[in-house]
Amino acid sequence: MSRITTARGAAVIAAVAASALVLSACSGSGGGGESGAPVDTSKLIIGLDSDQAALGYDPVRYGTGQRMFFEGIYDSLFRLDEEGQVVPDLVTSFEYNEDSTQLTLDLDTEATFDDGSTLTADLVKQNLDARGGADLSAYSGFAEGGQNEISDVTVVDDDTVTLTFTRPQAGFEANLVMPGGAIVGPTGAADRATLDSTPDGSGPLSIDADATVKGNSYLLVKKEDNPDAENYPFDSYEFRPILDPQARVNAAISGEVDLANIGSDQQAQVESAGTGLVANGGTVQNIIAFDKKGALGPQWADPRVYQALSMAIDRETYVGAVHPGNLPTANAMPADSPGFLPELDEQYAYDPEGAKELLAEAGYPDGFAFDFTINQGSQRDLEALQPYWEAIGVKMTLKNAASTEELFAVVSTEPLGGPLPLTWTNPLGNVFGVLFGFANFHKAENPDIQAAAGAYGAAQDDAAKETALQDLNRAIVDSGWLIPLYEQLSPWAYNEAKVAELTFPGAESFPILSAIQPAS
Amino acid sequence: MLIFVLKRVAWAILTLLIASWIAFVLVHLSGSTPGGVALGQSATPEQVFAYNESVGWYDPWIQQYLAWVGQVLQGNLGVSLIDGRPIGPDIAKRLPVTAALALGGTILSAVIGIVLGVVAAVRGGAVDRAITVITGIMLSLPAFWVGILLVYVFAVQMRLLPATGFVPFDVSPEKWFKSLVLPVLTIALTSAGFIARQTRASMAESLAQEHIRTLRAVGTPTNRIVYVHALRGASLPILASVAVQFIVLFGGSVMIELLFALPGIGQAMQAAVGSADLPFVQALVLVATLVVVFVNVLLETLNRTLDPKLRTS
Repeated sequence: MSRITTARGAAVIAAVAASALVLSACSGSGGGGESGAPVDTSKLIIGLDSDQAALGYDPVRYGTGQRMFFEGIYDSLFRLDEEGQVVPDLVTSFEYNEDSTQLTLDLDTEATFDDGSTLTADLVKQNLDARGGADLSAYSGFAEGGQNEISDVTVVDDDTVTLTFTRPQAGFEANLVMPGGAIVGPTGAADRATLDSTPDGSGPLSIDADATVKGNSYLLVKKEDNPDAENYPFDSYEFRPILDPQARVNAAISGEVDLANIGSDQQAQVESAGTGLVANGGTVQNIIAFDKKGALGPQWADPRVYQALSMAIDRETYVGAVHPGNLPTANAMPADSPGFLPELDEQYAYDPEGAKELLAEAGYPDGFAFDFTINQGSQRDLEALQPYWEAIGVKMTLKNAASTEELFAVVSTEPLGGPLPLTWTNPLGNVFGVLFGFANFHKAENPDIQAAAGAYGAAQDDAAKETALQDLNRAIVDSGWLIPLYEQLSPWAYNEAKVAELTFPGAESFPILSAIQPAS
Repeated sequence: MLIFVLKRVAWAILTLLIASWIAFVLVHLSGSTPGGVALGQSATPEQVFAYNESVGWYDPWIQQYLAWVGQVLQGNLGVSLIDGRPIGPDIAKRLPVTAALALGGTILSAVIGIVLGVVAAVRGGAVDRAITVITGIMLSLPAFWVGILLVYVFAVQMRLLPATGFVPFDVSPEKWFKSLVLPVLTIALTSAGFIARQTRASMAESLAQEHIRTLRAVGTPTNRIVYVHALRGASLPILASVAVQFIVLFGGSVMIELLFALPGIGQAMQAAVGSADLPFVQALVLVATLVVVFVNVLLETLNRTLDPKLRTS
């Protein structure tokens, strides 16, 4: 019997070995084309960390995180160019009235939807008039009571439309890029429920429904008769949500996807596997001050308190533990911004003793206590910061928010919030939309920040802008209106044999789809 | 036998109704409402109320349940609250993935488990102890970790098999097979231990039976004793453990589906629960219950076929 078992065992081993050989013979290289061979441009496969169309195909139901998926399907009034600047897309020209309360858009009426109809001013009005829709999240700022409320959309003529705002809105066009500026066709605009299963855009790509499995693989194919189709170098684009980070990296390294967004802590693994790696920075995560006037406690009006909190954080250790692969920084602005100041990193380097001294100078030698309402996403960060602040006598009590509403409400009831990600492609937007905007419930003033922002707005040349940005950076950090923690990187793994090095529009985490080029 | 099967089917239908009612009640007690889910957080209470009213959410529960059962009997599982798409076709696309995964995993783990269990019981001594250690390791290995390891070796390093993704059989049988090898192997390596332990215990008990001793005494060949008589005697608990394995895999292969990015039922269940897509959750519970009930009926029928005593009792 022993002999029989051994013989069968050998047969099993032989069968496994034979299968492996067959599989080996069947498998492709997995790593793209051979050196010198033309790159296969029939399909580009993109692995992503989330389901890009979890809510169906209405682009207005999404945020900027789904821009790359939707920008081939839909055109928008404005778009981001490869430098991250906002440029016209469906708009041919635009102008504001004198007090910036009206924006008039001339439209490209050649854009054609699937039913053969073309873009009209009426259609744009019909799209934007849906801004009260409860589930159209990208329109929420335009709706009544929103930060960027549009009070009226007027059709001037067939190809001209005027947006009227409730308050002056310089630079409003930035809100009309994807997804807020996406224009859905007449069928979708008349009944947005149809977009749940069928997109209705004028873009050069369309969904291949038969080849698509919701939540697993979305295949976008080119509409060859679309004039913009030639801007897309690949014939089709497959988006694969791969939710597990390790699976995403595996897929990228083994060549099953041509590019994939990965975690910052996975960069070393990708590099060591010899797979292409590129990381875009530009987003700084900050603790943000809400009570800048001391309404909830006098200490919150004293910049020295914020400076002490900043100096109490060992950023290297904190970032290494909680956000490995990202860049610790005490600058409000990212490293490649003209406003970046290396000396701020030294000034606010980890120094608990110095922090205690500052607190004592401010009149709080024994520290103080406060509450901080957090969500699941910020829990690890705040739990990591808690002991640093406790070490200088500042006791922070963390409380999990029961709802989004509760989280938003803390702007008026608690001194600090965050971590809040900020990019600096639009510095005045951050200053007036965030620092003096939603985060300024108590109506605080800060002459230094206001002066620097004013100087930036008035700057006529790059040198003046750089000086103004540096002043702005210092004023924000010294005042403690922001306590910068780290610069967040958005790393991508890519198949160097198939795809040229990825580029990003400004500080965006996602490349522009049409800008992804085959390897040369 | 026919009467037995008909009786079991009747019980199965009753079980389905009870399970679907429990799922229905739990969904209603979850605190979410269709309007809240479909319209999002920015919806006003009035909008949510109007939506809920339009889908009959405020009707008496029994009325809603009967309406749902009526729709299901007509093959309509409803539409997703999240994207408004029909649930039935989506589940139909996912079923073959999970079925292939669960079936392949069960068969392979059964083969490995039964072989190990039989060898351990028959050989005893050092072989038995070695297999006990091996199955102990198998039982304690997390499937997720085993999967990562297999992917690293066979997909990332050797590039023999795909690390992620699923190819339907009708697209390419070869790619379908290759896309299933690593997930199925992961399942088998972590599930076979359970079946092996069960097989070993059952075989040991079966080999100690009087009729086996008689067969040995009259000189029946060992292989015949082991693989025909003893294994048949030990088969009921083994079959039960294999069936349990299949049921567990069918409903609980979420981690495997996530790790290998497979568009199966587990992945859908995770997404539906996470987004409080109530009709989708209800439909998935129904499908999972249907599978459990079907496997149980099949198991009981098989048991009666294998064991004459059950047929006469």
